[in-house]
Amino acid sequence: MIKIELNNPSFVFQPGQPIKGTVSWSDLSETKLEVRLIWYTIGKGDRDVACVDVKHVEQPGPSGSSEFSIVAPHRPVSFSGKLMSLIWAIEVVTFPNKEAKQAELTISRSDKEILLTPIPKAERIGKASVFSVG
Amino acid sequence: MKSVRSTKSASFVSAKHNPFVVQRTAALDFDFQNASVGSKPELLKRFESRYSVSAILGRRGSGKTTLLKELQQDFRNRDQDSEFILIPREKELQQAMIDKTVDASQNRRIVLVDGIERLSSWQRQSMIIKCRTGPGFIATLHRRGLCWLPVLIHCKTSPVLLRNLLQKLDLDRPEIVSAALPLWSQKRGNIRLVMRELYDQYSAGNFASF
Repeated sequence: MIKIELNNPSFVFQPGQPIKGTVSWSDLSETKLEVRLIWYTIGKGDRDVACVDVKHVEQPGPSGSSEFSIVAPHRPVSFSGKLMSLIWAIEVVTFPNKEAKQAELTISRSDKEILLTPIPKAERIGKASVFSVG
Repeated sequence: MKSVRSTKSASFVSAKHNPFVVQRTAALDFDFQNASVGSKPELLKRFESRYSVSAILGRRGSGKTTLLKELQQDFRNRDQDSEFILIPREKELQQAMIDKTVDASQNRRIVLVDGIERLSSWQRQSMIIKCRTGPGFIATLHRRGLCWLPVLIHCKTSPVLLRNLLQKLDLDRPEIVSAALPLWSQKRGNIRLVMRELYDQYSAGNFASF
């Protein structure tokens, strides 16, 4: 079993702020662990995924824990709209079986993700859809 | 409703709370409900016996690509080398994919080709002939007659299949089912388009959140 704990219980981080936490595991038969900071998109279209940082835990043993610290990047920040959401997460992957566990977090200059709100029809420019941030 | 954003101008469910996100719907297993072959083991047996060079036939949104990707995983599980090839729409990129397909076949890999209809008739026939001596060749096709390939399986959809899929997504609630079933005929059985429409309806707040 794998558990991910973050030092910031709100799971919200400012760009440039360190994301600190602890990964603990028990009953593990794998030979290697990776702690990754990733972002991905979900929504109506195809998924984009990127891994921005990786910490390796070699020979983790059947049980134990490891602390990590990864600096939150400046972009992209977390956002959510009707068509797409961009989600940041700490992901722990075990090898060789490649089982993964995730803890979602928010990277934002405010205390929450950006919401992409459609502008009402009257305010639209031509046929293009314009979105406001807020 | 935890996921609804309300403003003066709009109220919507954000993508991360929409249960019809592509990442969920595309992860559904192929459903053999209406297919011409009843199960995966039967399909694999058919491939091994007489249809090592064949086609998966079906209309748009009937699950051909889903099945093709599943077959790749099945071959991998059986330690059979395979390669999934998506033929691009761009003409200038197609020759490279044809070469990659032939190369994979000559290197004893089963090739699984999606989008073969984007190629010219001459390119299709030439590619198939070159791959005939390989361990396997399966291509997706929208209709018979475009290639001489025998049909490994014919994929079809139905309202019952759509309902099965909603059940697998834990979304077979009365208001969703009653919105989905007319869509099946409106979209001519294209499950992908039905799911996209349900995504839009859900994001517009047409269904009660749960």
